[in-house]
Amino acid sequence: MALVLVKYGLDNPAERIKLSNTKDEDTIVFIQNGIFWTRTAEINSIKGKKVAIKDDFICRGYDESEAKVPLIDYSNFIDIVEKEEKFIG
Amino acid sequence: MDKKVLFVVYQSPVGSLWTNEGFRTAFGMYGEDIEPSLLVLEAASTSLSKNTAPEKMGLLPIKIVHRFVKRYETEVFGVEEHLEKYGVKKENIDENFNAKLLKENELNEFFHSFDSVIFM
Repeated sequence: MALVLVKYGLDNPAERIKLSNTKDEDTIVFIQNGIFWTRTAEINSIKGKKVAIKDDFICRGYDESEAKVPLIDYSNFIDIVEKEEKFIG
Repeated sequence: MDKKVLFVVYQSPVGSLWTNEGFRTAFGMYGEDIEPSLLVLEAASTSLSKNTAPEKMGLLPIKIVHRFVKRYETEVFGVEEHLEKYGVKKENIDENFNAKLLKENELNEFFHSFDSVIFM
């Protein structure tokens, strides 16, 4: 089980590699420009529990109702950071 | 038990300092209870070529890390498909890195074998 942190957008090759190598038991947090991945068609094929930072989603002009993954606040994010033993980010 | 940390570099070694920074950060870990390794992906794969020479452009050479890789026995990894993509022939890989090559489909298990994986 690992926390996978995705903070760069669609043009970043490293993020694509990270997202190609997640496991079902991982938690993937999309933060900052990583938000853009949650709006792609491929989001559903990415393994793991996926969440996005609500503030980062909304401040990029999107409405909560458009989110394809659950939105969390920073407090929830800290809980995930504390819970996961491994980190990929 | 030492914590296993993997530093991942993916940007070109000519025009960015990330290859040198990756090694520098890894070497700095030896004072702690951390076992660092370094993986080069994508354009950073060219860092492993013995013909890559940022110093020809007046930039910091990569070769300066060789003696520390040897001294600390730092594990260095590359990905076969990325070496091929960026035209680095196996026979041109600088032996000073003593690099181990992985296949792309091995990356999932490889990443998850570390406590922390830090993309730089």
